[in-house]
Amino acid sequence: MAQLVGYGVYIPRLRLAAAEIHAAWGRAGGRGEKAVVPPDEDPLTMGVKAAQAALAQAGVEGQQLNTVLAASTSTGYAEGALAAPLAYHLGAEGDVLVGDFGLSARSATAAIRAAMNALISGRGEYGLVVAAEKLIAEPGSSYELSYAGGAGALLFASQGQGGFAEIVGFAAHTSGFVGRSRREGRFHGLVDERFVMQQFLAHTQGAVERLLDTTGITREEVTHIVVQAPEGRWAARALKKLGIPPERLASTFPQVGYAGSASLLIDLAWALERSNPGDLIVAVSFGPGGSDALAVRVTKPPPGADVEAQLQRRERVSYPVYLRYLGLLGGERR
Amino acid sequence: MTAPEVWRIARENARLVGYRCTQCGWVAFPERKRVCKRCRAAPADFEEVKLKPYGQVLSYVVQHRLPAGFETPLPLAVVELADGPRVYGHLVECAPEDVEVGMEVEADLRVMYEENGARVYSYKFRPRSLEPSRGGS
Repeated sequence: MAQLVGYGVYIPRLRLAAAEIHAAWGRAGGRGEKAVVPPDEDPLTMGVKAAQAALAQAGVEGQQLNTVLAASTSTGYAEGALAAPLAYHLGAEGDVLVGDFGLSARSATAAIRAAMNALISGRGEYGLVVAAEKLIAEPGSSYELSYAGGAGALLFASQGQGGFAEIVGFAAHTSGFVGRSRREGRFHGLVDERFVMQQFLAHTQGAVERLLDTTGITREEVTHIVVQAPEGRWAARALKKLGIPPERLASTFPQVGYAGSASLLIDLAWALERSNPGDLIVAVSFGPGGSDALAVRVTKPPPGADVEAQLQRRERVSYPVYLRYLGLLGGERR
Repeated sequence: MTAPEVWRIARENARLVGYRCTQCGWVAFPERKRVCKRCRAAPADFEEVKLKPYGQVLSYVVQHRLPAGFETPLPLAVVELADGPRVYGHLVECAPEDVEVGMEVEADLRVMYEENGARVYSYKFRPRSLEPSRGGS
């Protein structure tokens, strides 16, 4: 369907421990940490860096891009393009199809599907998909433990360009369910999380089962599975429901947290970095509107990347500094 | 990328494009000049050059007192890019006490400021990593 020739991520090096958030709010415990976006980075800067890593890995120049699609729910703009300035920074301009995908964390997979469609319909040789987020949660809310930032990129090429992996299937499971939502410039509204989780399980299962049915792939063939889950424990529950062993889960959640649409591409990159020829990776998204699932068949040893290195490259940030960096502490600095 | 003065050098700024004097090799950045500052050719003949996104710290200061909006102590450096031009820039991901003259740094795209509700981007510098997949455009 479409060849994968490059992948890249950008994970900000600042990390905040969940235990530190709990301590600030007088709660005990807390496991893992999340990536914190510094004040001078946003979805554009992070997206450009993830994309540059993918291009460098494939030996493709920015000018060769024919399609650049970007997914984000957190650019901070109601109007203001992400894909076009991103393409421009990479060196692409003129006859470049750009598209911005947002309003749902699921938009990463919508962008992937659209990039594939562009290539299949003969729109040039290279299509780039970038997802980048800087999620900001209300202090004290349950979302604060996981809402993070980062970026991931996938570079696709038309048939005949080589490549180390291939998308061999894609399935959607769309409904009118919204779940978590957020008004412009506001924090997320409160919803019944247990109810949202049940819907998450139903939608991810619906998409993955349709993917397996339509491709003939069996559960045993799935070497790695990526589940875009906004909460740490949800992915394990989804796997249980799907009947896929928990050790197949490829997740950077304990180190990165939840980076919305970017989480899917970051986890997929991490799975690719550790995969071998013959492996089959299934990735399933979830956000307002439902889920999409895709299957990636690894055909050649994937080129080396620095996903693991970026996970290891970390600098701790304290809770008050984190609040200040995200603009959540009021007042002028004196 | 909205205001005219930002848009005018958008290409040079976003993609690190400089202009090399065909007579003496001096590189102008970010503006395209008419006269070469080094060999004084006038009008000079400049050719476009895609600058390598790394260089060396020539000199630096550590700022301790700055207006709101800056994180202090803030190391600021004069960086000589590998292709010649010298630029002034923030150093990030580097403790002030670790900065050294001669240190290898690489360009890192960041938000510089916000104007009329739009973020304006340019490059800061961070210690150069030797991993091939990183390191600017």
